[in-house]
Amino acid sequence: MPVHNPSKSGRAKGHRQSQKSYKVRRRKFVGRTEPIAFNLDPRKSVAAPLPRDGFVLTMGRISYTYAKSGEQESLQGEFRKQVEQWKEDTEHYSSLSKMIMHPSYRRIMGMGPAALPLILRELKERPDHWFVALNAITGIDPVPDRSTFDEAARAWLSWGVQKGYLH
Amino acid sequence: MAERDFGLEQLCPKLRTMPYTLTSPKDPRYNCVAFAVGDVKQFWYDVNINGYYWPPGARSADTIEGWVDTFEIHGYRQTNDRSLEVEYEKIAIYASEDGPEHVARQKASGKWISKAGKGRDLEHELEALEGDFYGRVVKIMKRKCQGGRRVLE
Repeated sequence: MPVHNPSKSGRAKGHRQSQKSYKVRRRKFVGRTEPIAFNLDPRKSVAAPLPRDGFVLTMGRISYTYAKSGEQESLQGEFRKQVEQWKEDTEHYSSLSKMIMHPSYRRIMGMGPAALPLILRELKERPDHWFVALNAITGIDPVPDRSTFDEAARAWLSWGVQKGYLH
Repeated sequence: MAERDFGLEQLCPKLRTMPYTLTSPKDPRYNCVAFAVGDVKQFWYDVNINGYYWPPGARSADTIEGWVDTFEIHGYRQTNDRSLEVEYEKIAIYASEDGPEHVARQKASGKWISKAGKGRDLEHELEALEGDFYGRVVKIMKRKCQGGRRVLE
């Protein structure tokens, strides 16, 4: 399964990297440091519970640090930037693997629970493939079996309202 | 003047010199595999969460074999003939070194039509999408029209 390779017309390449299990580590100030498995192979379970507050998501050599509550405003700006980049670069992909291995999508997943209201609002306003990110961040899948894309979106939005992430 | 998809032209430069027609708005809900079998409500991919569809028994969506399985399940068989045969419906699978990238289906007119990722449907020449992005056509498959009629136009 490929990862993004900007050198090839914005395409994703490099199937091997997605087979790795990445790790999420809580920042020390949160009080826990044990790793949490975070597998990005979409055919395997991508669900893994993430911390409720600040954390570092390590993907190979890339680390992201986000999501302390006071950083919400900058998070929104960063989220918007990454969404636009992801949409532009992946518009013509047929492969979900390539879409979710794009660096911007991984960065958004790395934002963790703090990004849930942003992702859900994005899903509501401009439907796109956010199900993998939502599943990876929350560790759940509220979508009934055999759902279409629209039914899956409705299930996630309903879950978001129920949990108070979306109004 | 015909509407153009400049983003797609950048990825598939042959579109700049070969005629094509955009036939739908952008839609992330379905992809080229779904479109080729006439489904515009589901994104066909094998992933372990709900909201996606991949035919049971078909191999991985990241492999040409998986795509061939999918179309065999829908009655298609491999052929080397990409020309128009009025009694057959045909699909063409594009692949790069990474694996399958795209699929188009042939219309009764002989033109090919496909869905460009999450983007728009377009009618095009088969060769127009060949290049670095979608690779080249590596498989042609066909199925006999049922009762002399095409399942898909």
